[in-house]
Amino acid sequence: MDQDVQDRALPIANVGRIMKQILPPSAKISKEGKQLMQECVTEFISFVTGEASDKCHKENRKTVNGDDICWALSSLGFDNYAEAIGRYLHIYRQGEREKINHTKKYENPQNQTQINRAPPPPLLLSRVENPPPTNQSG
Amino acid sequence: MKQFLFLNLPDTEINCSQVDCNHSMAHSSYPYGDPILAYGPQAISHPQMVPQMLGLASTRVALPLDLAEDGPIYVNAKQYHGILRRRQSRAKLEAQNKLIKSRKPYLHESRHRHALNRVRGSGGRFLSTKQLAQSNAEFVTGAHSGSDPTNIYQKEHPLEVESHSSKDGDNASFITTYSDRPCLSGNNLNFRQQECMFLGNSANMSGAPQCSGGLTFGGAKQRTSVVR
Repeated sequence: MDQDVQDRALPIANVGRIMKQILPPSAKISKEGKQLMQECVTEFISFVTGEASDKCHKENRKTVNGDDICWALSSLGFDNYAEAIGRYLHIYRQGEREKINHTKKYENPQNQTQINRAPPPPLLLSRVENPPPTNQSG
Repeated sequence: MKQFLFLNLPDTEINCSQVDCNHSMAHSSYPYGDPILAYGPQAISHPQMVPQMLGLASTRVALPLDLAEDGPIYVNAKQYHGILRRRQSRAKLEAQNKLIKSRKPYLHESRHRHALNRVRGSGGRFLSTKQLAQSNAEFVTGAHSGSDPTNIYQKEHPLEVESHSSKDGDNASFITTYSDRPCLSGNNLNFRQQECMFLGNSANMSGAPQCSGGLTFGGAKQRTSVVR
């Protein structure tokens, strides 16, 4: 049962932290509020990812990338989310490209293959698209 | 359509959970639009959002009737196939017993036992390490004051000190030397500074009982220094 909760749902501590970002500092969130939001967010991610996966399956592709997620959001009627995620994806790719160029400038030619990609900056919508790694403390 | 009907037949086994999920799916499509279009108070923006959402999703599609207990549920036409696909996925997970059925109150047994062993203060909250150390210090001081007379003398209790002064002649001579101090203003200032420092130290060491009795407290300090 522990494995089921850890594998099938996002860690509840991270969900609570994301919910707190939008609230004033004095606000508190009940445990069942966090649990219900955990289930809603998990279902939403499965819903959008299923749509993206269906598109990739039709086009005989195996990798679901960011563009597929944007397309899935717009095809499901979440056009506003698709626009915001599209802009974020553009900024994210620019940052990645700049990081690659930066490391190529200062590293030795022998160590070019060892490029460390930093995680994306913390953003409310980014956490919905990129779920955080499974946290044992949750 | 026949394939859909055939695939929907196993869903009747979990009719209640499916209906609840459908309600959450149907209603959850509206709040997702709120945070982006209108970042103001939700009470004000919610009435404004409803006609826009109705305008955007004017074409509605009825979900299959066998899953809806009280009439058909209308959803966004764009999400119709997605919802059906999710139903099939949940049916597969249900068949494999992988759904989150009952939520455990805790995830790790060892952490649960550790939490049970932790000390709680008034109101039921856990005591932090500082609060725990303070409570232990108070317990130790209570035990010492109850048992040993030498500790009583070292703790400089005003009542005990007064009794000692009434008994011994040396203490009387010390009292006379203490009475000479207030005449000199400079020495008095230095003495008060030392007194403040000692008060601070005693407050850090034990706590509230040492704060009472200023003058006798000063006299007691002299005696302790002489004894050492």
